[in-house]
Amino acid sequence: MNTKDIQALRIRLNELEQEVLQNRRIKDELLEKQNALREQNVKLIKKSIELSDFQRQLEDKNYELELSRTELEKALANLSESENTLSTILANSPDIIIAVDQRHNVIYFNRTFPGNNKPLDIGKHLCAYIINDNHDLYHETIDSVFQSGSPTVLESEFNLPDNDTIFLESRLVPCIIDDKVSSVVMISSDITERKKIEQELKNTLTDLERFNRIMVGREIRNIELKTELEQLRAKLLANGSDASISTNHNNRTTLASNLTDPLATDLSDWLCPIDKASLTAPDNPADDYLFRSRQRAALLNLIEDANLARNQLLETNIKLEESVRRTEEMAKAANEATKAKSQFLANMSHEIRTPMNGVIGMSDILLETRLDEEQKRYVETIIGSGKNLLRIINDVLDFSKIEANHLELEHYEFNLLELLEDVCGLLGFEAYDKNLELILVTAKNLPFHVKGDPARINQILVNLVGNAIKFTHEGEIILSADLQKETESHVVIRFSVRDTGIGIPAHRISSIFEPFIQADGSTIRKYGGTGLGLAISNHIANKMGDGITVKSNLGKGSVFYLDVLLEKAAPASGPVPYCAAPPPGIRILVISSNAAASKAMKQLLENEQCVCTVASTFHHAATAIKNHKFDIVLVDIQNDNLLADQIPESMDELPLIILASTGKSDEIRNRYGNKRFRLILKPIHRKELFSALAIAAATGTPRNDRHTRTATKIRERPAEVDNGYRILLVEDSKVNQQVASAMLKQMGIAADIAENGFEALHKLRANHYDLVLMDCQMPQMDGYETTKRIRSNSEQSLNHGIRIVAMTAHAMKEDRQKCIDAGMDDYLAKPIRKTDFEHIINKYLKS
Amino acid sequence: MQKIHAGVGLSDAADSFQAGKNAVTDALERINGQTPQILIVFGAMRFDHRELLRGIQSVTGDIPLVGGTTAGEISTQGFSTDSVVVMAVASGQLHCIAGIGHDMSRNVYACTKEMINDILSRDTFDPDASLLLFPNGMGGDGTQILAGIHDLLGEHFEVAGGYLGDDERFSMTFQYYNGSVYKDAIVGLMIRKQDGIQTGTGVKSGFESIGNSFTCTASEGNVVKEFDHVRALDLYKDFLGETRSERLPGICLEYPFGIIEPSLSAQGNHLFQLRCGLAVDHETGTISLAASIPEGSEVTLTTASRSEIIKGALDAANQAKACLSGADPRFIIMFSCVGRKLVLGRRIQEEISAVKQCFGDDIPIIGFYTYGEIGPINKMKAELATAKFHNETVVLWVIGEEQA
Repeated sequence: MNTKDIQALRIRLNELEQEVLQNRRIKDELLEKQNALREQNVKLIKKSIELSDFQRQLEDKNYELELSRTELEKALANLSESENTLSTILANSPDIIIAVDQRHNVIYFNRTFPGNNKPLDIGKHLCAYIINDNHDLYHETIDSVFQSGSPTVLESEFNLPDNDTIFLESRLVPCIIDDKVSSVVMISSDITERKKIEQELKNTLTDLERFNRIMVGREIRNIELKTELEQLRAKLLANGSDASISTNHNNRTTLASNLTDPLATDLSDWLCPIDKASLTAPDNPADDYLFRSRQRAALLNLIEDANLARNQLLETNIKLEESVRRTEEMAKAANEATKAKSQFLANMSHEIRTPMNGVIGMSDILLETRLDEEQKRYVETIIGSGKNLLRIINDVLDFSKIEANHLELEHYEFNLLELLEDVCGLLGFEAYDKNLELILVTAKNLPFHVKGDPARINQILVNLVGNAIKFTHEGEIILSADLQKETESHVVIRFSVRDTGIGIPAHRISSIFEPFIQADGSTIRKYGGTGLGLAISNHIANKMGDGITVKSNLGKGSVFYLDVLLEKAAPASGPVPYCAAPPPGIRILVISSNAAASKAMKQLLENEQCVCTVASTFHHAATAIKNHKFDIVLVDIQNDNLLADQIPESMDELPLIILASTGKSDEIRNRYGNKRFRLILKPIHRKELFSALAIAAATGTPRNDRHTRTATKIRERPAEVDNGYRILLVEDSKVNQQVASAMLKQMGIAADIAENGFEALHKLRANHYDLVLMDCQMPQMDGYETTKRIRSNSEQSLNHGIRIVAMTAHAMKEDRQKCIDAGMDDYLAKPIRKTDFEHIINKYLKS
Repeated sequence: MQKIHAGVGLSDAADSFQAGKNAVTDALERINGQTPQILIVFGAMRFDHRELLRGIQSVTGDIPLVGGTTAGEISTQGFSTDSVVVMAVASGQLHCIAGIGHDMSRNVYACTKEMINDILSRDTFDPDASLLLFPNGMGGDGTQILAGIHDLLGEHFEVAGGYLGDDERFSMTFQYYNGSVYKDAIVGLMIRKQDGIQTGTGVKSGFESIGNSFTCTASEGNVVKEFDHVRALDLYKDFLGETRSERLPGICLEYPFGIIEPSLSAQGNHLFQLRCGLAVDHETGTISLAASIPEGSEVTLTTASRSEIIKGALDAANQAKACLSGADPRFIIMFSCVGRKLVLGRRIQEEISAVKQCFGDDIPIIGFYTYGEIGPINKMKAELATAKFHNETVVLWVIGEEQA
């Protein structure tokens, strides 16, 4: 190859190199563009997503608007319907109702005035419809109501063309809008009938008065006659007959003239025949004597009559006065008794509620702190027991209600399973403390969403289960619920409480439902209790269904049955909360030494379509594991039998769940500390068990919770969380002071404490506060009085209008009104629950 | 003379036996006590399923029965939960044969073939028949079922179906086949019809593509690994932005992927099958789906508002009605995705109302909320008549009579 060729090649090579570089540059540029494009694409899609999100929100808002518009339309339809109803009522009212405006034009009417045949029209002047006689009277009265703004009554008389007269009583009432009388409504009733009766009454009264006058005249006459006759008799006895005759004759003339007095007509009528006879035969002495003796007898009789009648009258009057006085006394006594009773109830609830306030309040706070499951359970038991104590008061109240036949059932939706688990939760501690098993069995077809009175069912079941625990010394108590009957809308649930206790002798069974009686007179001392529980439970059960029935086997145990009719509740609409469930088909080995408990557990798990094998000892369990495959092992520790054995090693590969009562948990942790297991405290909450099973099935390994029980100290929120609010707590009880200030502290609010009303007033003069929490019952000056003084202008408080919230253990309804009347803004019932407390505080601090 | 009678009954009685008995009695009353050819039964998980079927059979004896468990029941009365719905179909003009294939999760394809062979062994093959499918909802890749059907019955055979549910526990479903309860099976129902009877399908979601497509560059089974050579989850998160990503995997229901049918997407108007993410793995950056997205497929992001979802149901109903070419509709079987149920929330009843709006309030409907839907994108267009596997979609199957 010559140099020329080499030269040419070099040039070519150079060119090629240039080309490669060029290509690379182009490629890089392309890649860059591609990247930019991709970024652009991502940005675009992101933007689209944002847009579609926005659109979705917009649409949802629209939908909500649409919904509320539909609601509004419905409400409007209802409104016009009720307006229709109202106008139907008005139209059918027997009264004439006419409303007029300031110019006396008709704005409403239901019918016209009597005697007016012209059809009434809205907008026309009232004059057109009132007959002349009453025209001015009505206009004047309407004007006066417009001016005074106060209602008045007008009586008027309508003389109808056919000579009938109608009396109307019109009540004129002002309609006030914005402090001005906008219209006047006249409600006119036809009182013609009433007038008639009034007239008749008046006539009767006149008659009575006349009669009375006559009676009075007769009385006077009687007295006169008596005097004259006495004189006559004296003279007859003292002188001879001649003298006496002449005197007598004179007297007779007087008598005769007197007898013609019109006032004494009836008396004269009565005496007339004799009188007339005597007047026609004046000079016959024998006749004259006869006349006089007869007359005297007659007069004496008359006087006696009158006297008798008067005495009777006086006596009746005295009796009447006496009975009026007695009635008044009785009414007063009854009033006092009622007052005393409600005072007693108020006092009693106060006496018990105040300490309970402390217990429940502090427990609530304790729950907020970091507790392990077991401690939490203890605290929940404290709260449960507190509530139970309150229930005892209610027992007594209930009983008096039952006696007065005032017990009423509520009707609302509740969850049956939660109710049953609550009952077990409340009494579980008691049962396990006595080494008894408390087993809940529910039929698999049992509907959980029902309507009824859960509080009352709970009350009965707590009573029955409580009794069962009380009268059982070993074995178990089974609370079960079965579906007895089902229709489209209702179910009959049979609750039964079965124990292995002392039983009830046959001849005693009928008397256990009587108040203050337990099966054996002597057991009351041994077992305690008010003796009211079963009587109340049976009363309530009778109201809800067929009462409580009992079967008992002396020395072996009893079963109490309770059938309750409940309405089915519609399944809740909207998303149903997620509920963990053991995956169907998993194989579970249940180890339990109590036959009833293992049977119940097997049924429960099989209802969830798990495959369940039962072993009564660890030894049997080990054999079962050798022969079959299991996914989970569930050990139910009843008493010390199982605890004595070690868990076989062949179980180590399987997830292990141990069920034990609260009291046993420490022992179990110590004993099986080398194993990995999940501990569930009894009585079991189904949700908890199911989620443990689901977790165990999903992860395949047991979660070791040996170390969860670490921090037990009460965790306090840092005190420096001070949001600037200042609250004055007026409370005399130290316990309540602590509870309320602890709750406030958790909310980060500082509180000053005043022990009584005087101290509160003093503090309010010196400091500025945002809110006052006021106890009602305090020594020296109570909460009502203190509030009145704060509101009063004579008090030198910095803020007369400060918000005041009452805290009172008085649970009665009228207490709330009493607080409001005293000038307080709101009301908190003790025992104070944290949630209510926070709600109220936030409500008034934020406003 | 009406040729097809269908009645739907519902019960929410607590007792399983009683519920089955009540629902089937209800259904039979609505066909005036005629003897049905077939019963279609969908039940909530809460039942003792053997007792449920025993309750039904206490009334109907050994009349063939197909169905299974759900994530929510659909009936003429609307949407319900914790209930059992039963449809009784009586007609001298229909020939119904049910079949079953076992062990679906071991081999979906083989199981499908077993089911079809079971049916064909007892009946002649009729290319104009319809096949309704009720597979175990946790049984595996739905595209494998379609492969089995297409291999044995041909690509254009009319298929509709829904993956059975378990009330959103996503652990195991049950299949009802005659008097028995199965765990891991595919139940099929072949319906052959005489002249004068028309069937149709409606398949729509209401979801629309947002933004440009991207390519699936790595996937394995139901798990997607990469889009455009980027970790799949990373890209998805980029799209969603930070706040929405916090709602993973729930937000997948609102923004499912659409696999674009390249041959059928003209003028930027994409046709796609939906695939919804069920779970995400933040460490590996992968997304698990209800069915596979094959490597190399073009994918787009989709979304729909609640009213668009409801509109989707209406569109599906209109599409199904159009297939009947004027025949009077007699009953509908409805398969709707559980994801739609979750997104719709309290507006759920509107979806069934939309279907009724198209077919009339009295049309008997039975169906359920599914874990995956099967049906053709559009039966009326030859190129779209092949059945596909969907998510977030409503599939309707309807039967009607031509007027005499």
